Amino acid sequence: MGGRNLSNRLFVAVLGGVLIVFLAAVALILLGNVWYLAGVAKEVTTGRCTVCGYLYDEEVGALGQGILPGTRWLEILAEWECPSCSADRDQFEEIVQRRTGWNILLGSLRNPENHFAIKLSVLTAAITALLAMVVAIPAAYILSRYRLPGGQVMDTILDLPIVLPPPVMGISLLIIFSTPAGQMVNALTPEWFVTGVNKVFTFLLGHEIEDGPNWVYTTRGVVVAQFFVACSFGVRAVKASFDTLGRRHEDVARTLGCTQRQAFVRVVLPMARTGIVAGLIMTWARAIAEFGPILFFCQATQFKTEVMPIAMFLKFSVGQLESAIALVLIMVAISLVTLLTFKRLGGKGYLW
Amino acid sequence: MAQPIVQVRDVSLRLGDFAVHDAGMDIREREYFVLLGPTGAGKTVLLECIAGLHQPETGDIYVDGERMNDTAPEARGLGYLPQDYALFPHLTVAQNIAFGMRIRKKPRGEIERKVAELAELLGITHLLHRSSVKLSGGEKQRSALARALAIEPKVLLLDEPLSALDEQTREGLCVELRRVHEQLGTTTLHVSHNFEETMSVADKIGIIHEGRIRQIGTPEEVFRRPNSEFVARFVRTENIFRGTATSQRGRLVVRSGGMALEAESGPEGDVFLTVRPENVTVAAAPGRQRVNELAGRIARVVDKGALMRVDVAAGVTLVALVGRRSFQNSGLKVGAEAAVSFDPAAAHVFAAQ
Repeated sequence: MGGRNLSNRLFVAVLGGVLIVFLAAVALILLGNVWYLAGVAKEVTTGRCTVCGYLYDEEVGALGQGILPGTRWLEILAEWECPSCSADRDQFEEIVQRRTGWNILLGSLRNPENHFAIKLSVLTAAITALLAMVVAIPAAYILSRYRLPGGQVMDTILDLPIVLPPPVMGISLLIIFSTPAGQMVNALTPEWFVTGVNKVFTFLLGHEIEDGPNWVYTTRGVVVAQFFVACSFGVRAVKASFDTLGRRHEDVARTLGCTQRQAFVRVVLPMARTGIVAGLIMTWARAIAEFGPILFFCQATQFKTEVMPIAMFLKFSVGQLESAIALVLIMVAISLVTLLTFKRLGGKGYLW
Repeated sequence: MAQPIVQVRDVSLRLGDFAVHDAGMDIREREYFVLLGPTGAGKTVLLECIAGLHQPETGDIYVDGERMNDTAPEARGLGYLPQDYALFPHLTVAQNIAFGMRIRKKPRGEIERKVAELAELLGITHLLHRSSVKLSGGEKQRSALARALAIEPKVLLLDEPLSALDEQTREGLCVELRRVHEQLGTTTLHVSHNFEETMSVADKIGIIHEGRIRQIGTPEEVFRRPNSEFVARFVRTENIFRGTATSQRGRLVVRSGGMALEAESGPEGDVFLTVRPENVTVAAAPGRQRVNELAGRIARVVDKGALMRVDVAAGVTLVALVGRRSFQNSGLKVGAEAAVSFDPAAAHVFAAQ
């Protein structure tokens, strides 16, 4: 008896061990970024203006003079003037700063390019999530309540964006806009819409956005790229919530005198509230993580279509490893908060 | 007599695994009608069809003389209480009760008065401002009943209203349902699979099996005079014998497996003879009788609380329900010889289909 008991415990311990090893590996991989940063110590050459004491910060750059964040002091040309007092570049003295990983992390929080990326990510993902709900709520309701002819086909189309490799949607979007269908969309996009959207983006992002009527390679295109992937997740999340609710409450509401619309507004929506909020968070999380479709459809352009994943990619590709890591950590923090909120709301269902 | 308030005429429909075939029934004003049948008999489908939640494939449904087939559920004016009550979790009990009246845009004062009145009637006044989520099963049932009654429905439709409750609450609520019905006089259609529950509330019973209505009658009729083997079994007649009936000297004699059993009247030919177990007597020694007396041995005794179920093997097995005290006094026990008998007047005979 005792022996059998021991073997049972051993069995459960082995299963538990697999779980713990996996979780530890995930945590280690993510925290490895911090570990790496902690070990970084490098010397950075920069310049200080001997006239006014302005110290050039390569994390911030000098956008007023056209110097993008991340430009090294030594890359700045001789014609450059002090942004603070207009002294010539040769008025600057070269100094060497010692930078630790912590300094670099803090520095990347000062980086206006990163500010732009964070703002653009949060904003586009929020717009995408709201738009996705506008589509997901009606679509999920119909899918949940009615057995439709061709339901299998609809389900498959709905799930396609979930299983497709990321570039597929990006390339396809790019291609459709080079066909008459896409050109018609461009032609039908009203002037006021384009300028209005540009104004809103310019205001909220703190950086001039000047997109034309063509949707390709634009800031608003980021929302399009996110939407067509994230919406499927939204439909799934909301449908899971409608499925669990069942139609009993609606039936009762109908017999109590509600039309189908009244029952939907007064009973279904309030009852599905948590599911809808969970769907919002899920599509938001999905949208903020989007990379591939944006890369193809919007290109990776600084201060234009540079959402956080694109920013990481750009920094990584020019060798600013520490800066990329800083963004990675910010992204991990955002995802963690999102996920905790989602769990807190009791979100569940078929999400990935 | 006035026209029935609900008329179901040859209604058929199929819904997944459930189906109703050519169902027909009438429910009269102020009547408490129970549709009784085993699980999966199609009774809920029929009720939902009357509520307007499904369309009959063939046949017609009339409420108050008006054909309802194409009328939306919201326009039928029927109160519906589903099995799981389906209280709206985002509303308080009072808001739940007021829901239908608010949709009908009744004046606020009238709504408040009606909510208070129904809460009083059902004894849930202290719950009115609670969320509907944390109520007990019985409290939910009362709240949902109040919600259905608040629209003053022409007919109240109750789908297994008591099945989700524990035994004690169920008995209490049975009494309650009957009391509310007597007080308000709302015509009620109640769907149930529980025989005892049905007997305690119904004015009229419809027995449904495999989507077909088998018998409609008062509880007494269905209980004493089942019209088919299924109904006889379903109302726990226990003693059911198939045989051939012939009239002899003004009596009906049913020959079944070597026995000759007598009844007062009934059809001749291939028949079933049934006797309810409470009409069967068990004695230690044969009496001076008579007809319908069989000698046998007690095969099994099951303690049912107030009653004892005694199975006597006498060629066939006869089941008797005997009072606990009288059984103990008789000194009978399992294995003992016993004589079982029943009055020919207690036997019911119907033609085998």
